[in-house]
Amino acid sequence: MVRRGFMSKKLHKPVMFLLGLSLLAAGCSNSSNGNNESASSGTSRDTQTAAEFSYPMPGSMELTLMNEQLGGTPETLPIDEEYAKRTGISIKHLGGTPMTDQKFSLLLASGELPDIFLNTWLQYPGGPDRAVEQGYILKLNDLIDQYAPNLKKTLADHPEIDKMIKTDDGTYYAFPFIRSETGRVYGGPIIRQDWLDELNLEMPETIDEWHTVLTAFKEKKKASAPVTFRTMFLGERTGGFAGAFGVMGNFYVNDGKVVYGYLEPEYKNYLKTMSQWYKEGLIDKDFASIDAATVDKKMSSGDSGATLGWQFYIEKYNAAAQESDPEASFVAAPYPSAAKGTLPEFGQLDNAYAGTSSAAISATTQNPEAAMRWLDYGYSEEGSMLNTFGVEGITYKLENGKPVYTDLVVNNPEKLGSDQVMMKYSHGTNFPMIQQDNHLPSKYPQTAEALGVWKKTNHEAHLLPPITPTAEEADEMSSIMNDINALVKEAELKIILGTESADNYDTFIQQMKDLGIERVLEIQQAAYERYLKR
Amino acid sequence: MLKTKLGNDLLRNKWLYIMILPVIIYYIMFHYVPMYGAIIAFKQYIPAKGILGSDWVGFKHFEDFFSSIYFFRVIKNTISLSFFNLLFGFPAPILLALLLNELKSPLFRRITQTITYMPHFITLVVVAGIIRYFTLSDGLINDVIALFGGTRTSFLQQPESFRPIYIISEIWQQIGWGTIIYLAAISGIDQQQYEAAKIDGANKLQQIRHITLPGILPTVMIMLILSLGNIMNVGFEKIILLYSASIYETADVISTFVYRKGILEFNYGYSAAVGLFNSVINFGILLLANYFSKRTSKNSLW
Repeated sequence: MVRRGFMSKKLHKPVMFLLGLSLLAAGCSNSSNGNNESASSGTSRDTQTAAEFSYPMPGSMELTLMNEQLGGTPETLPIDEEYAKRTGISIKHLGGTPMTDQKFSLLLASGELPDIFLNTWLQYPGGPDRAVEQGYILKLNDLIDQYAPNLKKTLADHPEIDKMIKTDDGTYYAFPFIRSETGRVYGGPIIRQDWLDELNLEMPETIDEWHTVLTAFKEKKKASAPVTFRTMFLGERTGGFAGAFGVMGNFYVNDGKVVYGYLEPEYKNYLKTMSQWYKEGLIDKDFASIDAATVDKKMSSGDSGATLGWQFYIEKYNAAAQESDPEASFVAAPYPSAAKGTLPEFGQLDNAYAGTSSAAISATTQNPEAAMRWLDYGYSEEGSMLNTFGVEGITYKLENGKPVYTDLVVNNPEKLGSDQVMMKYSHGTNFPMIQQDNHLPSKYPQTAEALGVWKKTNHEAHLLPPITPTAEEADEMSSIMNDINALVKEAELKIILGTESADNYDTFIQQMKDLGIERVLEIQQAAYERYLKR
Repeated sequence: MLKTKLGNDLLRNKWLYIMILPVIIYYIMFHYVPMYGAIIAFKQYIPAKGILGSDWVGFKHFEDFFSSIYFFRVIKNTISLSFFNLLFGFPAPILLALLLNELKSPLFRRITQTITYMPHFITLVVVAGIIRYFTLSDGLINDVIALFGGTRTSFLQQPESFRPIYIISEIWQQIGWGTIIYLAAISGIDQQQYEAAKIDGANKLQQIRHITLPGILPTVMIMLILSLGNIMNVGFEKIILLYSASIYETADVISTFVYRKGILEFNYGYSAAVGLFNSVINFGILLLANYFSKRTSKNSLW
């Protein structure tokens, strides 16, 4: 449970985008209060049905919806009402569950799936094709032709997106959530700038400089845990410090070949360094067993001066620490590299289509057309404006064709943060759409700068696209990987904690080979090659 | 003959039978009917196809489990955690009950009893949170160790300290609750025996040894048999809340292993197979314990 906490947190919190392009800012013609829409804005020429259709859809239907966030049933927000008004279809929220929670299993077993289900269908055991074949969700190919002109147009205009969201045999299984270019980066090292300033140190860039800085934190600032983090940030969810060694946990691509980072010889060097750091007391003594709340506490109380975390942590830590120490300032630090002036191979970067929050339609739904229409609206121009900037006249006004936020957002009378306001009036993230940059001002400039800092890696060249192994391959892989996942995590932690010598890492590699990691790589490689041929 | 006997009995004690009816229905509905679901241990169970509609796979799930490199480790961890928990955890409430029984002041006795069984009502998530904070390298336990000049260690990251942490916290949480049944048994002992012993000049310890202990022995044996029947089941939630990959070596037990493999990957058949395996072994141990108890102390479940 504790280990899953980060997911829900990450997904709950809107990521703020301040860089990059807004593809939409120009050419948007919107009516003043948004209830007077003029159909599907010129994207309707593709099919006949679409040409005849115009929002709102008649019949005042209600659909049920679930997402992948644990917790209670979300309340109805202004954005939901606006969506219902514009599409003519109202939504009943039934809460949510990620696929990795047993609630998801129970839901499948009950046979009562919601009409629309936002989840990571790409990770469905056996692959998305299996979910269709087992009769849980609909294959969308024909339905898209009939009822989703906006998505269809998007896919025609962006073949790179089209390639990512279908399976090898061309099946569409969900309305995808495509991250904006800036939305793909959201995590990395965070450090206390005020401590660096006080100690007269430069922002660390290489692994050696990090060592110097952490040692100074320990000796001069008396930090009991100079750097603290949870284990998933350590070469698994982010490259962490491993990027400097040219490796990262998990699967990635090296020159067209799929590799498993834990098998690479550099991984051992990386573990050796981490183990040395741990021995010197630079890494939190308890890092292997702590939860997010403990990390937060150490960061805001001055026990730690650096961590690996998500972007919104910067906002959170600054707010918490400045209560007692107005000088405190947390900023993003670049991912460490091997030598000055070079880029690390890995940081954190998601595929534009990571699979998350993508909407499948239940095979048992009574009204597939309504579900298709409701979801398709998000890919239209008006829908995209609404999702990105909220409701015109309430959250933004158009000035010279560009959206400008109102005081409700930037200077909220109830002292709400701009991201909190936007959460009510828009779908900034984790919603099936083509995400646009919303240029939302954040409270601390450090938060805004973070993405630019973390982006500076060669990660893009190593990214494994959303491949889809066949159902049989997926079965074989999951049965092998189950033991291997436990093995690597255990080996990694034991070596860092010093209970196992780094030299023994070779025996772990041998064990992985005995368990069949090479077969997994074969499967991944084949799926990767099929993907490239799509 | 039997029919009329049963009929008469039903008629005569109809209120008693009506009162027990809900319990019988509960057991049938929630314990016997679901048993047919155990067949998914031999199937590739897909919820959309239903229990009967899924394909048979024979002993595949059992073979997968037995051939995992972690098979022996999880079995060993499960049994040793259970065994040590029983070894230290079982006598603890008996000792406490004996001590409480000797207390003279009823007020002090009641206060002690309340305080000791209070932890039983704390939810596991909170208990695990307390344990986590206390065992941190700058937590309370390490503060005490450092005060006496020891070195600080992060207990929850060391494989060798997991079992003590688990068992000590288990005793702390359950000891008071466990005494209730023994105190009830003690109060059922005939006071004349103590008076007779006192006249014979027996001291407190001798009274405990020769009167109290034999007096509660039947209860102790029944409790022991019941706990033996659970030896393969360890506190799954508590372990999930406490463990991390660095201590899988001692903390990974059958149920956590199955949780990672079965539930998180929707491999229901596999989970069912391991669960079935677990239950069969538990049942075997229960039969064995009952048999020995019957032979040696004439106390048994049936």
